[in-house]
Amino acid sequence: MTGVVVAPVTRGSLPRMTLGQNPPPPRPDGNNQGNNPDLPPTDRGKMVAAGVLLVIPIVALMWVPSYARTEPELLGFPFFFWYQFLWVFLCSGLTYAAYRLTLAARPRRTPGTSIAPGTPRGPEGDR
Amino acid sequence: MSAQVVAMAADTSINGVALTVLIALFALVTVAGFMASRFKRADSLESLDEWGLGGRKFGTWITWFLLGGDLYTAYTFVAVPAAMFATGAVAGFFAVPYTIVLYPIIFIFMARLWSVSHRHGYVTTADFVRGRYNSRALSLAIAITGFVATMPYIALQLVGIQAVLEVAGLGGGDNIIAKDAPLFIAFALLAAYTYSSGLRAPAVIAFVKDILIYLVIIVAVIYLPGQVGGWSEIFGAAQDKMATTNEATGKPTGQFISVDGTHWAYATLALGSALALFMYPHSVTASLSSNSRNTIRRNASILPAYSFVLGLLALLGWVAIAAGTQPIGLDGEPNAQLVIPQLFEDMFPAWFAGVAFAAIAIGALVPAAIMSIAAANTFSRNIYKEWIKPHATPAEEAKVSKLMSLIVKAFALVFVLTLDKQNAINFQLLGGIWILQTFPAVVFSLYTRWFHRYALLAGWAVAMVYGTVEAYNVINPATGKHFGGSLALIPGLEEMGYIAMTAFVLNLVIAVVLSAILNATKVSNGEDETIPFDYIADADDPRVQKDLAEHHSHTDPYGDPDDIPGNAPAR
Repeated sequence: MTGVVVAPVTRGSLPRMTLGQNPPPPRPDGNNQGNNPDLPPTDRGKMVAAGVLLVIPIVALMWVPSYARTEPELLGFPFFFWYQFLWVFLCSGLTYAAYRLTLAARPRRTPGTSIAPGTPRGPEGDR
Repeated sequence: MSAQVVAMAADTSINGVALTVLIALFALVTVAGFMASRFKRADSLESLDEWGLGGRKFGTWITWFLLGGDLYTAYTFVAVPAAMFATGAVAGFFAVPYTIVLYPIIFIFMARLWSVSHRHGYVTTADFVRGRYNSRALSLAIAITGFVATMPYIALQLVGIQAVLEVAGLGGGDNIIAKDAPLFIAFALLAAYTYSSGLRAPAVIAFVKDILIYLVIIVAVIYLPGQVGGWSEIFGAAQDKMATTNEATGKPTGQFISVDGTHWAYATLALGSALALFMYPHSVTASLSSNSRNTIRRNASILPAYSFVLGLLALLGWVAIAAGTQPIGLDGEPNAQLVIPQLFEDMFPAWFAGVAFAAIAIGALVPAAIMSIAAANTFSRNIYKEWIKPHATPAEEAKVSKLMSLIVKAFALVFVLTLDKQNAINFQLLGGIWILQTFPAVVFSLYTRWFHRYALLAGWAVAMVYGTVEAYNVINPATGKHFGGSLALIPGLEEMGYIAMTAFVLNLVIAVVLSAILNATKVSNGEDETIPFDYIADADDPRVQKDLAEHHSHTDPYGDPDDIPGNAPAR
């Protein structure tokens, strides 16, 4: 989910805001997020799991022949209709689970706290 | 139309009680709309961030009401049950899978669009594409597509109000001024408070709209089935009607459920519509007005509540079949679009019918306001500032946007009042096909710059032409006119499918092949002013806070410190 292509440093670049700061070396694990050395790595396993949860309802509902029938009925509703209503709730639950997973995969930082204590920071990073 | 025809349509005479309730609720939201400028008050509304995005500070619940009010438009509430009533589940009930798969899709990309827009002060998708590739041509293509696709959508909101007024008995008579005065007044008021309060107006009105909609539909779904013999009776009546032969075509009237020949149509309508919806400027505007990237993701799991209600509303089209509702317009002609207002007038006491009418009419105001704001922002950012006056200040941008929002609404009004309604419906159909063709340039670019700007532009152009021609070639079997629907044979599959999806696949193939060629031949893909961190940044990230403090506001051009695109340093 992270940017695959790292932004190129282009011609005419005026690194005004990074004066005096050398670009950070790439992370050894290749998880170089946004040229920022102080981002904790993203938990890719959790992100993939979240992606799977999100794809499930899309596949289920695009597979129309799997539910294009009238039996069994539920409270007078043919299967075709109550099955799709059921997916409203399933999809909502799966989306929420995916949301929790992405939060866990990429921990939030609260403002004012150091992002990764001990990591050397440039002059503009100090407060 | 003659006075005699009006007199003959006896049940369409003015419904005084319903009309009084409608006017009272309308007056309430008008006051709310003008007061809205104080909502989450800002020092000044004179910038696109404040006027056009509500200061980008709406939290989870406001965003829920706003997006719900924005996406589930009055026209949806009129047209979906009308389609169910007229031709059945494939044309109508696809709205349910559409609005379910919508949310996983936006969950995936909307947070990234929010983050990069927050970092660089982007207000539209065309802003983002401009910053990502430094391509004015691609940005203009996206902007024009968004603007043109939104216009008929605004006009259709008026059609929704018209349907309600027609059943309430207003809008009859020979006098053209008296006939259209109610619609004119409603829209003039909407234009006035949108002008003064910006996005805050629909944000406040959305609360009223959504509460009314939930109330009306839940009451209707609990009360009405008992009146017509229960759900088994309703589905039975619908099944019988759909199996009857349509005299014009010699085929069945419609589908009770999707059958072997319609699965592709059902699935592609749902998926194509879902992919397209958040390419519309009004969806992007409502999303970007939220205060954090996670607001959108939380909303992806609570917005389906509206999809549930939409599904129930769709079934009300079949309740009308069981109830024997006869939607007859003031011109004496049957008009399926009137079926829901007519059902409520027939089945409920006048005061509750008035509440239902108000729900639909107010339901038209929220999307119409957001759409006109979004179209106006697109114009002022991506056409006025980009091509006419590059050094426009934030205040000038806001000024142009405010004026444009008036012009857009006036245009929609003229469109609906002077042309056949069918034109608005045709253009809306085309708009859905067109807007989906901006998806590759916007969404894929959130992840990668492998796609080449010229390849994306070429794919867009070919798909636009293909989709338009295909839609033109669909002949309505009953009337023999062009733009008869949104389905056509998918080449190679020989199944009927949504034209927008076929065009989208064509778009993709062209973009991939040309990107491979252009990348291999090392043609410049423009300069990128974004960095990977921009796509995952949240509002409360300390680095974001620091940059914001240095920039004063988002209104620094593209959030770029030196205003030279494409050289954003690693911050």
